Amino acid sequence: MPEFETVIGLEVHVELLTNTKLFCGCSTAFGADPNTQVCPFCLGLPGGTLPKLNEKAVEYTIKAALALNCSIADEITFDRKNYFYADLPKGFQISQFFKPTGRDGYVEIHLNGHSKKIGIHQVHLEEDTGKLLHAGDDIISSSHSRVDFNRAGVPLIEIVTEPDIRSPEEARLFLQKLRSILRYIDVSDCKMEEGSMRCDANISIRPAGSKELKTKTELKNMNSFRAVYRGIEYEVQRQRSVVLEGKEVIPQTRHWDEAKGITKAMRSKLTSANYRCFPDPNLPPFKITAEWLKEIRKSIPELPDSRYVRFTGEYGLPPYDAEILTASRELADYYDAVLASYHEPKSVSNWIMSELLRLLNSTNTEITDCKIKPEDLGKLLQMIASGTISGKIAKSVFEEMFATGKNPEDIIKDKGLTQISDEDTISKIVEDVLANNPGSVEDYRKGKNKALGFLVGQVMKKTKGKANPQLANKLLKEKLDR
Amino acid sequence: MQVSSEELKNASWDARIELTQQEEKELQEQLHNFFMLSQAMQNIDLNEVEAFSDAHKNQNILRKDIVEPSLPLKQALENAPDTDTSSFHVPRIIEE
Amino acid sequence: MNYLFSSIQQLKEKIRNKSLSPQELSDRLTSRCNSVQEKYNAFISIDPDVISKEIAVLFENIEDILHKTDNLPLTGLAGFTYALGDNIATNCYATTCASKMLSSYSPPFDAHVFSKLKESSAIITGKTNMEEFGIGCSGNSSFFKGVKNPWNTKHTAGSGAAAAALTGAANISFASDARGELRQAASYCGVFALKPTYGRISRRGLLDYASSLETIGLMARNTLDLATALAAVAGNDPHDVTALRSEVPDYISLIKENDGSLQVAVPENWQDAPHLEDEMKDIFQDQLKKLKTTGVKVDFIRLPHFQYSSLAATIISAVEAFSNLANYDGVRFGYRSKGKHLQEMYTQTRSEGFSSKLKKFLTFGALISSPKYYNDYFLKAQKLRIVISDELNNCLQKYDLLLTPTTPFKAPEFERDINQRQEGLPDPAGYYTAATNLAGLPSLSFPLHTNGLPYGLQLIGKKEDEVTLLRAALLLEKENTLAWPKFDF
Repeated sequence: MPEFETVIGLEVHVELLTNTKLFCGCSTAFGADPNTQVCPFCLGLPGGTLPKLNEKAVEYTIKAALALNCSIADEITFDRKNYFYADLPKGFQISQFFKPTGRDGYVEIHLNGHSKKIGIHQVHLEEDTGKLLHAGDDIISSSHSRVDFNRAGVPLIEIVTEPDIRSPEEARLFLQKLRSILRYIDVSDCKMEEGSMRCDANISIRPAGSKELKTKTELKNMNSFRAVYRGIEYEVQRQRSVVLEGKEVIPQTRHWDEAKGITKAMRSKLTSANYRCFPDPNLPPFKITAEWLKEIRKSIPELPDSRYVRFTGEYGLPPYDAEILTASRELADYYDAVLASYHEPKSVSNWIMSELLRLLNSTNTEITDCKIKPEDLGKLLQMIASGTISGKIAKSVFEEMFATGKNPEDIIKDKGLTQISDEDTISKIVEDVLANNPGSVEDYRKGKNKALGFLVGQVMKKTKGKANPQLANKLLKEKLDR
Repeated sequence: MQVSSEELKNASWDARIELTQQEEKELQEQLHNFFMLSQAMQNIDLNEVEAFSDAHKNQNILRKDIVEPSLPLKQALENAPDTDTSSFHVPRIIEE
Repeated sequence: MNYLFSSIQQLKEKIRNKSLSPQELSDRLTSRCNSVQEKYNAFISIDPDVISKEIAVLFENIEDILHKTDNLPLTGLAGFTYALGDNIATNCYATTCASKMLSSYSPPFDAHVFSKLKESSAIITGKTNMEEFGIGCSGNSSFFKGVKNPWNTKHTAGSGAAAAALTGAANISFASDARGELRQAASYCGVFALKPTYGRISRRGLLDYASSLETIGLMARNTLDLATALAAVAGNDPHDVTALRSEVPDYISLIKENDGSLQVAVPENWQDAPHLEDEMKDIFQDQLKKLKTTGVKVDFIRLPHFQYSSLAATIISAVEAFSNLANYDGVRFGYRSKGKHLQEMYTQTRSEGFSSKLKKFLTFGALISSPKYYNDYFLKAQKLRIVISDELNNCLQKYDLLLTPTTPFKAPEFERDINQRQEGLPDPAGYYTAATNLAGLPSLSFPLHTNGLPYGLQLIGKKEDEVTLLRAALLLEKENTLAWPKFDF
């Protein structure tokens, strides 16, 4: 059987976190009643269609393009993409065709211990469309549809990759990395399930080793990272079967059907693209000044890749830890903040990756809503290290901190959980225990070492777990071996 | 230059317009005249000129990202031919 | 004369000596507009209530208006009557663009010019009829039928705005100009028209078909009125990013300072226009002679690409119209036809809602911007636009004005002239006018009255230099006697 290589390019749309739409002052707040965030411009009412460009949207686009290592245009233009559809109020979408904001960037992904650059062809700014609600079960059976234009005109950036992606896994890693970067710079919340991040894939296959680009299909409607993975995986298999049957792949747009787990062709007439792009005559070109660019560049925080390098290099974290800790800016910030009060990188990483992430996941809490202050977590770890509390008690203190936000000293004081490390106190308890358990003392002396464990347990039980176990152990042995 | 009926139909479809036979005939006549007059234009060498580069164009101004009032729902819907109390209606999307 | 009063001072006199009551003034104005409507079909909406309300306000505030100077130049228009083309958005009147598509559209906002005029104590008489969406001047695409020319009702007036200005149904008419429509109609009706520099008047609330070419312009029966009205409505508008940001000149004072040393250029091949009438040739040459005798220097110069301006403007405007009018889809406003599914509804709505002429024009726009023609026609036209603009700007560095006829021919006859003169691609009526739209330059059409239908003389000025145009028009006013027709209303 011939070997095939998969060639994938992604077009990712991301909604920007601006307060207002791209060309009018209507709010972009999510979840408003239908058609309550519309004006003559975003409804396309005759005589009301003069656009006014949103400064923040341009700033965020430049910021994103910079974070994706693009070169930034000196001058950008906005162009009309003309087509008719029910969710498009003006009969054209204002986008950037001739002079997009960013070009020729890349995103680095880490796969099986290797890193790979995925080229970014361009980053541009455009308007989102309205939303259709189909009467009845779905688009096919509905007699009519209702249109809500609240989303129409919300600023989107479109990120177009080069056809550098070779597998569904690379596509998923790329998207996750992209999301991570865009969240780091705080331009989008990138929620695929809510539609603030959407992804279309251009997919083709070719004989391994070939350089030529074959006929591609465009895959739409993948609403989660999992769907992107599964959709592409299915489509690649489908194209393989078509080619192996000796047939040609037809250039078409296909829909991912999540429930059925298959891709389906869409009608070609609706999607035949002939957009007749030209510069919007109501929008003069905009010059991006060097000063502004400098200012925006300054506002970009340390990005995941540099953090990854710092965490693995400076802190000596294993790549796996660094990858997880840097995936979200908030988590990485949290990690850095804990280190500031307790500088033991690996032990902090262990606690965050095991205990903290477990609790966050099981309670469905975001790190930003975590009640434990980073310095408190540092203190807790410090207490374990100094032997003030045992590891076991620390875990229950930690859970209390997570639930209440109280600092560890208070919890330990309130509950009297401080470890007992005073020899005299423990000595008395040890003698008590030995007196009350002559059978076990006998067993130990007969050589049954297991009995020691039981006796230590009894000391712990009597002290409600507060006795320093090493000390209890030592004192027991001393008295038994005497 | 002769524009085929098929080409004209595709163009009018792209404008979501259906021409009557009479209109198509009239437009063909106009186009005949148009392409004749355009021949001279085709001979002008404009390779050095950048389209859309009008020097007199303004530089765009940016707007602050501050929310302005939207239309009241009633006004947003009042000019529309088919609505319910909150949305615009369109006929079924799928053509079959 | 056709004015109800000749100046605001005179109106004040009449109010003082009680020879004119608000009621009387509004009755006379309404009746005149109704007559102009009945005879020439110049209006789409006239609302007597709006007229009498605005007159009542004027009477109340007359002393204030006369003594307050802090609100000039707006109050310079106090007491003037004006009409707006029906593609200028007004919340109190339907705004139809003379199209079936919009016959009941009521915009939830006012155009920038209308907002300004409302503050000026000028009185709106109504919304004027026009070609559908203001495209061309041919008299055959208004949903409300063509406007008859008051000089000869067998001919088109070009627009209701021009007919209203001629007949005194408005001192000032505001209408749009994308390839010369405003100036052509003024020429057909023998009135003054000024298309200012692109951006001089905000386009907010203009239902334009060709945004990069189109501006709001004005018509009147003399130069001073044009200047007064321009001063009132010109100026930057933060909502229109294509609006000029420079200071508006003090037109009224500046046009009176005349140093009389005008240098004028005429394109040497001006006689090459298709359908150029012999009478027009004679009249134009007469005017050149006259100007020379008044000390104006006239040179014939070569403008090799001027002849392609109507072609380029026709292509560009058709493509922009194809896009600008794509929002007319029967969903959020306007006419809607039935249709089994969405795309069929679109097609039926647009095929029933637009006139035959517009359907052909939009199809032309779609064709010429389709992949097969995009580079050779649409892009080429865009490049020609740059070349033509450069040519005009270079010429105007050496000369104060460029002079041409406004149109090659006088007002076309309804029906008879339909094919060659009214639906041409390119539009032959735009032969002289379209270049200034391509270049965004100001241009004025000066009326030339004859024994029959009038003609127009077109003056083209430097960017932002309406002052020189107005000065030259004042000079021409002195040299030419205008024979205004008498009306019995």
